[in-house]
Amino acid sequence: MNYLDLDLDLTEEDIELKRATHRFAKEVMRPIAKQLDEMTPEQVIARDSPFWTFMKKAYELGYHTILIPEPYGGMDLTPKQQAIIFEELAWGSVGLAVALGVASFPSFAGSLVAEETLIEKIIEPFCACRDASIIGCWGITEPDHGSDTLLPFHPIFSDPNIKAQCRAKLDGDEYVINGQKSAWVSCGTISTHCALFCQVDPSMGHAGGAIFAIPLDLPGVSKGAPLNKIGQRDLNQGEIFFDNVRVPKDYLIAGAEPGVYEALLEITLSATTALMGVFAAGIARAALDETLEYARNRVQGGKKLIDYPNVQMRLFNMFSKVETTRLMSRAAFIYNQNTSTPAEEYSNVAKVYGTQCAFDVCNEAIQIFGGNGLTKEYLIEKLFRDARSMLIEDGSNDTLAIAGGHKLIHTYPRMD
Amino acid sequence: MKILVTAKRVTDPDMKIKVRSDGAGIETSSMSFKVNPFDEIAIEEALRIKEDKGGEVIVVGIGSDKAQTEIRYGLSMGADRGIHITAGSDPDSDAVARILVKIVEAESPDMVLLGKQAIDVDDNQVAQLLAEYLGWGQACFASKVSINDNTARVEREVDGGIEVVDMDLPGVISADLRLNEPRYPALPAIMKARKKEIKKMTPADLGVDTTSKVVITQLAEPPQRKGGRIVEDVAELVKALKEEALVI
Repeated sequence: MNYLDLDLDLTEEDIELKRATHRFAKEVMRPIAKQLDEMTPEQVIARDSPFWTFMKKAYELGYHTILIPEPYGGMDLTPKQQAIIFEELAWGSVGLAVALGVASFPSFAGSLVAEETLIEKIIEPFCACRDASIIGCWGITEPDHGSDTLLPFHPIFSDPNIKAQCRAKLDGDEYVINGQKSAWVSCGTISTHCALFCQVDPSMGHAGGAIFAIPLDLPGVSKGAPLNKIGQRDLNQGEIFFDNVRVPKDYLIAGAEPGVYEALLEITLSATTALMGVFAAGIARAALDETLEYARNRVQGGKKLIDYPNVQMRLFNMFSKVETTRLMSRAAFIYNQNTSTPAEEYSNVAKVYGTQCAFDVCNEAIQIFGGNGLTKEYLIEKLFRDARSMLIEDGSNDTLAIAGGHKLIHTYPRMD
Repeated sequence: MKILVTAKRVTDPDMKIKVRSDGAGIETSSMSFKVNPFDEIAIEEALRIKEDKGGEVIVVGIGSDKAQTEIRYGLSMGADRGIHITAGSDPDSDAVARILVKIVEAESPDMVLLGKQAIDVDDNQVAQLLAEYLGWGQACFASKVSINDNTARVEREVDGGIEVVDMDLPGVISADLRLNEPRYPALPAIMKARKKEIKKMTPADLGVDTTSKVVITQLAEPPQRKGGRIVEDVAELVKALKEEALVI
């Protein structure tokens, strides 16, 4: 369903992108996501799975290059357009939207420094890919370190007593990587490339990290089984193991010098964290759409649900959450994409507030659906599980709130 | 091969339509619109012919300022340029055909490809009227089109089978549902479409009088369906068919 954008500055191009993406989300993503949701994690990524139908179609249409700038083969999209497109994709399926987002991650991270080798070997081939044969992932989370790897400039981030489980060591012209990234790596078991965020200097704790763009066909790389989980079952997740993997220095994006890793991580997170808020707006709107449609038709106690003031009030509260989530997350994403000194705490608000709203909206939706909402006959049951995952995915809301609070006490008020 | 295709702005077929209280039209305030699905199939076919044979695809839309969105959609799919005939309300089929005649005279295409009908009013007349006015051959309800030099072989779905028509070009072809499956516009193509030309004209510029020959006097909702019931035996069924359904 379309929605009114409270933005009088939308261009015709913005609207066309929104319409075209909505159609793709509705006609291609929705039916495939529904099928994948009821399959096992192994079936989801099997050769004949509709997951690949989706990925190939998305690559064919260029949806994998949304975040990549035009000079490297991506698109000349404004941050606002990126947000509009990602909200529609998440409306179709948040799991599949995440899959597309992380697929571009090695290229996205690489485009932040844009070294020649990275452009030639990683970014350009990815953008030119039209058959989903090149898929990236973001290897940051570790079995014992999840959301705490997302806390640049927080004191615990520099604690040398916290031992990383994936480390790179310089040896001549190559880095040697050992250890593992945990089962929460999205597209982990199907990716061909990894944006690897791992430790190079143990004396600095997590802050002593570096960012690599690594082809995963290098000797010594292996992968775990795809993860079975409550929500976003259409999204593949799983471990990646590194056993003496030798990586040429050319694949280092940044981080060998002190301070660079934290700064780049902060820039990265300011984008990705806000993007989770944008996704939240998409899934929350999907839940509102489903509920409105249901309430318009469902008769209880002799009249339609929408004719009860109590239901109208609850729909209004859901609507408020959808709209405020969009406004906050889009504003944070646009601001932080347009500045080199991002205000990360705003992205944290977008994610923490937005995903909580999305979950609340889905939860309230199920209550309005009644018994029907608990069944797999209605989409709302899937949306609820997908939204539940978001409260933890990409940084648990608790940790992101702590990080945001820490940032706030040191930066507030920021100046224009 | 130069191909003229049409892109009519119609109400989204997935949405429920509501008749306006004065019965003269439908409520459009909360409707979403899209390009007529049959026109979309025609655009897709034109693009495939162009990809195979080379040439140019021109999208024509007739309607309000907003009808430009649907022309732009055709350009996003891959058409080369657009022509927008601005008109306050949708002209009737005959006026549309006469407008298209003028555009054909100016552009001299090898073929006009249109949807067999628009899914809003379902008149199914423009292709036939246009061919007649132009004195061209027509092949309507195409389910397959193949081009061979100056002829088109068109398969048409008819009751009980497929009719094959060989037609000299230039000619008029109207697209049926099973002709092809239209592509989704690719994001880079959407970005490029912004820079493609859409020429604006009015029916008056073309010297076409769009005074409607068809007047809609009244639109009404179909009567509400009553629930069914289970009958006890055949005798009761026959009686009901005779006395209530009035079909035997």
